[in-house]
Amino acid sequence: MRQKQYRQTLTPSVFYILLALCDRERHGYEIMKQAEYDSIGKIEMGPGTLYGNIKRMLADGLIEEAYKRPDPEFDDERRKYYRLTDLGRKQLSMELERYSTAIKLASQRNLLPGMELPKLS
Amino acid sequence: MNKINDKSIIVYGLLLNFYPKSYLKEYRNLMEQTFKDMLKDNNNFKVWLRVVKELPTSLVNEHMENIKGGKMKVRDNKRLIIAISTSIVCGIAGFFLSFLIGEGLMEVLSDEIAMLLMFVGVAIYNFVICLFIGRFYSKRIWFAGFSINIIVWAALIGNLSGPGGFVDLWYGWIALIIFAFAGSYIGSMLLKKRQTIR
Repeated sequence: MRQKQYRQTLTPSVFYILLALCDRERHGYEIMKQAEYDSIGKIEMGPGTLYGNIKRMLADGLIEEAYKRPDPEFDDERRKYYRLTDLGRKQLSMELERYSTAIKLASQRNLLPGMELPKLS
Repeated sequence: MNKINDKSIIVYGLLLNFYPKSYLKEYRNLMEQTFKDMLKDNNNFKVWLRVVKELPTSLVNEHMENIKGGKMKVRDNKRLIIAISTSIVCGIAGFFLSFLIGEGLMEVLSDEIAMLLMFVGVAIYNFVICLFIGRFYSKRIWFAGFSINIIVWAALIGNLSGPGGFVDLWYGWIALIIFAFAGSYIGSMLLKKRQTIR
């Protein structure tokens, strides 16, 4: 088992997986779809990349398996649901803070003239 | 689920067998389930395109992690890549060199002495490679490197000895493996001793 610790930076896939799990528990395919939606189609994971990342994030303590299952009538009970841990939430906040600082700096230095943020549908 | 999708699921299930067993034990069902979900929402071609795009890197990463048993990405394996590349370059160079000097060498030396020299060369080469990669990688990686060396040296010696020569002698192959293993084993023992002293 790897030591649970903060990562210095997150890969785009890990970042969007954390972001997908910040509001509720999700299963693999839901995470994949949410990551694609949040990244405006930039992050297109397949099952291999998704579960490879999930495996490492579980080992790092960023996410954990959620044992509270939805009603089996509405869901396949073979699915596994994942949720953020406190460490994962902190890591996500740190990353967002880093982005936010970078954007502020870029804005101050006029590196983003007239830049419009892409609209989420 | 239509017939094409059923076949896709079967093919995907077969492809999953290329992942390490320990990984599959944990994630096979989940990956298959996710693949089925993808097929429900997307067309077959789009799903396969995504799978084909991610499969090589995903496979290599999982195997690397499995071998190392921890954090290890393809991009971190510079030394291993250098070691394997060196093996391949040595093998190719040796193959061509053997055309140039092989026959002359065999004329000057007796067959037995030439073979012995080659075996010693194999042992030294494996010894060096073992020290080079054994310092950073597990025994299984070292064994993979050792196997590659055997193939490279077998190609070299096979060419050098010519038809009807060493390659046709079963004990020649055994001698090659023993010498190569001895070189690697001594290298790994020496390395272990050095690490213990530190």
